[in-house]
Amino acid sequence: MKIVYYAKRNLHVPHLLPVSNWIRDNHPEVEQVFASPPYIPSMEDMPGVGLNETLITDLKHRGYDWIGPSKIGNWRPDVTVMADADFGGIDWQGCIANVNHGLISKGTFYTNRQTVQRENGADLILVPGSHHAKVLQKMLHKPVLATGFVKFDPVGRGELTQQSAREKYGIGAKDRVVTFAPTYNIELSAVPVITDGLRTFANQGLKVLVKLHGMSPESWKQMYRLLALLEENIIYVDDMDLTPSIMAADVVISDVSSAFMEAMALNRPVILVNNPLQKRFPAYDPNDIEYAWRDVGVQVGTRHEIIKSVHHALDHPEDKEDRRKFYGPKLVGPIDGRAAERASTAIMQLAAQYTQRHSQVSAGWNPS
Amino acid sequence: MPRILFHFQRPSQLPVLTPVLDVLRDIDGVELAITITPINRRHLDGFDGQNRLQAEKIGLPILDDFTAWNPDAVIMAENYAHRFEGNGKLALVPERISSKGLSFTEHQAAERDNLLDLICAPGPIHKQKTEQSGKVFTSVIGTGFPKLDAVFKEGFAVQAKLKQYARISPKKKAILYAPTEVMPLSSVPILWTRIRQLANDQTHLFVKLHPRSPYSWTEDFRLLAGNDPNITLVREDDLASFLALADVVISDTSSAYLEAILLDKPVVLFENPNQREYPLYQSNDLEYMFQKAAFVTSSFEELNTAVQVYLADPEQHQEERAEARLQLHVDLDGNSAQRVADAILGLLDGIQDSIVSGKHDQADTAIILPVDHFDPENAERTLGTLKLAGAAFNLFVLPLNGHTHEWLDRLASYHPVLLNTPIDMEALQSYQYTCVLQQSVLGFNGWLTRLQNHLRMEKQLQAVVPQLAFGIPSQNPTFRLGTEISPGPQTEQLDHQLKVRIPNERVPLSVAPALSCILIRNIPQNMQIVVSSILEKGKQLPLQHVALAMDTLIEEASENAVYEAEWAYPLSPEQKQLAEERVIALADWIQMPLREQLPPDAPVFNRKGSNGKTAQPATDNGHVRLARHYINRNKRHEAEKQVRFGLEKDPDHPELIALARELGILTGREQ
Repeated sequence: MKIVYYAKRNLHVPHLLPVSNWIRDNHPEVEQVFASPPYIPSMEDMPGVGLNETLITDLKHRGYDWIGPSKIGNWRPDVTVMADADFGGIDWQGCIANVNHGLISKGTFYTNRQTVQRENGADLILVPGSHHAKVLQKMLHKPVLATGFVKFDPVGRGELTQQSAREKYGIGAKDRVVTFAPTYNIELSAVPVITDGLRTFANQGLKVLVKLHGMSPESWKQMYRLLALLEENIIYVDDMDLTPSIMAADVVISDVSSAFMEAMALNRPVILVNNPLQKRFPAYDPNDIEYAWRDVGVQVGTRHEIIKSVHHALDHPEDKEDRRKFYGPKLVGPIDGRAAERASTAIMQLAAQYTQRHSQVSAGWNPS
Repeated sequence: MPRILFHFQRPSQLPVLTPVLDVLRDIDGVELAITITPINRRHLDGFDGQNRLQAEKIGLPILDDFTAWNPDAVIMAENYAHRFEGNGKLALVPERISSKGLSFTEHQAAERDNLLDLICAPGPIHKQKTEQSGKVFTSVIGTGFPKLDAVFKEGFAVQAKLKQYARISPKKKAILYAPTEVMPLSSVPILWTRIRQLANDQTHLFVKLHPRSPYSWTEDFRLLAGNDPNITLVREDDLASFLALADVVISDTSSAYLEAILLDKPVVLFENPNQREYPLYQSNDLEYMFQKAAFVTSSFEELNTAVQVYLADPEQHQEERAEARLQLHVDLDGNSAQRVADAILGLLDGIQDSIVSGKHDQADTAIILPVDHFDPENAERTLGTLKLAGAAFNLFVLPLNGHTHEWLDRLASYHPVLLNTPIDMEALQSYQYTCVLQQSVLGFNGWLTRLQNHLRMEKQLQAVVPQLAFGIPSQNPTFRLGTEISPGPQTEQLDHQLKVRIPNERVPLSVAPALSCILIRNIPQNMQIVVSSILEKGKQLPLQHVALAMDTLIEEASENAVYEAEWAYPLSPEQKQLAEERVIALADWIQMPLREQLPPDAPVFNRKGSNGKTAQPATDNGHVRLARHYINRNKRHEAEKQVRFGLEKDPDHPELIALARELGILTGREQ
């Protein structure tokens, strides 16, 4: 049996790797490779494509081969596993499983719009929580399964804790930590609202972790990198994975980014910045969870309100905990360290069905 | 010895450029080479191994690394200027004589032709359409269409001979079907293989598909031809010979029908009902302008009837065809290639200026260059920038804080027209445009021409500024993603998008961080105010319509210094100062799109809500602010440094003096 993990972007890798690792540990007979389109870095308003050299090298160090897209056809995979519903460019054989990568809708994913029907391009759709499954099952004719959020497996297994995350960033256990994790769209992001206002926290002795979305404009990255150089208490996080920054936090400032959903699921108080242009976002839909579930955090609109709310949340972390515990499981399923196992098992079943059907067809069996 | 590079994107361009190449080959002292695009099966484009042999037959070196060859000019049959920027003058000898919303059109897409230095137009109508488009300002010369030179020359085979070559009886009528490959414009998706009904014992049907037609079409017609001796699928790229042998030509919006008119062949057109779905559809494009010289049909039955009418009476529409020919081609004498070659050599000799505004003595732009100190590196940089302007200009130097003669001598040696302060506003009024250029700016190739084009294209624009280079290296016109990052169709597409599509867009100034280079349309009543406010940095620009030109790039030496600071931790005080100022500038810039769309009193931007340390840009060069910042953080040593730096610049600054006292530092005056 052969499985190719086709990562269209850098950020898909953390969602694919736990699956490939589980299959390698439990089904060593399965051949696995990673593949990605030719690399194009992200630019202003233009998402990057493919995997950069560092990531490919990292995959190789982890024992995985990487092949270019033109070679996948000859490799003849039984299953292609992806973390996105963008199936463009796939012209090789085998079935497709999509483990998805986000938690929120952004007017495109997990919504009742027609655009989600592109998910039907996969033979198996795996989603994190029951909420996502419920939305997609109404829209799609392909099987949809909620298997949990693989990125939280290390948390579920106790490998990633607040202490270990803080150690990673050189932050003490007693420090009070604010994580700023905004999205990248100008109409939605908290960045234009607070800009360099994060210095206030730094000057008040709080530690500030700035974790920008990978697709953020270069000018935003430059501003926060410079701020981190000027302020000891501001740490610019260049990780690909957001979860350690959330785990390290006492409070999370976000906007409509899936960061606030992760924070909520990990029971961190969240301050939700409403960008004044939010409703002008082309795909704005108040029914999407990033708008419909905002009662899980404190909504703010100005820099002053952000500062005030952060301090309140630091002093009263129990506020809104009931809402976090209500929404959390619907979003990410159980945090038990076994999401990758559930996803991998489903993929192995799909692969088995495919190889069985394929061998029957090869032997002259006519499905009609 | 000029080096001229010919670029072939696909084999069908060989018959277009080879005649020009043959003319230049005979000229002593001209060095020639070619470059070809490798096959891209997904885009049905480029040269495969077999086609490469065709290119090799030309007998010139095929270059992979053309930049190393350092050409003086690049000649291409389709606008791929984005690939060749920085490699000499760029000239287009078009592969098509139609528009398709890309060339000789009023469609916005034509703006990409501004990346060229010269367009060789097939006929008067092409020159006229370009010059009147209001979108393209590149020089256009009417040269004719070299691809058809052979047909118009004496000794070209007569129709009967051609039929013999094509292995059909000279008595048999020949119909050439030459549809376009563009789905919503093509007749193929409607007619498909029903066209076979036109072929019989008396009539032979030649099908010539565009080389970029989908494989499924080629496959369908290959099967059709394989099963019917009266049908031939033409594989050769030599359309001209098949046009010449045809008795009737059937087409749609393909350039082939216009070429058929040039050869006085009766033409039947088929209109795809979806043609308006074509994203670049432009109803007054060339392919629609000359339909009156043909029968236009919309069903197979109509088409069949029209073909029979022409076969019986080929003189129908002859007058209309003759009229069209006058517009579509300059002299039909078979000397188009010679005229193209002359134009290219003229371009290289400077006889044919590539800029619409002409030479320096007819300059329509005044560049004001404020100079505040002598710095050999900056001087070289500025001279280099002026050399790369592209368009003609006159230079006005404005010494700010004194200057050295050496600096002025250097500038004078490059350009004699210098003007000392105060600027004579009356002198500026005689120019169409004024450019204020900071001394530390490095402009890339053709920066002034490109800025001018934006003002020419958009009459309501009062000024235009270029992009800053850092951050997005792909927008550096001399930087090619396809080779620098990773080769492949996707990078190629992105490259094309950045260099061709995006350059045609102007975006509001809200995303431009600096006014280190600005080109202003001269507005008599405002010029004094405008120029002064630009020179006094930080003052609001009194212009309403200012845009960012995505195709024009500059670098700022001072900005680079800030970016270098990122990598040099711990920061020196000077770097910290720069970084502080840059943070404020970036924060303001990031907020600008929101600020512009909200009421001015919207609370989001009330910086007073913060601790004020990064509040309004400091009027004290930042030393007071920084000193206070370090005092608050108990970093006394750092604070003292800031105060000392500040006092060195301004010993009388009251706040710095107060801080010096607070810190126990004695100022020079007190000592």
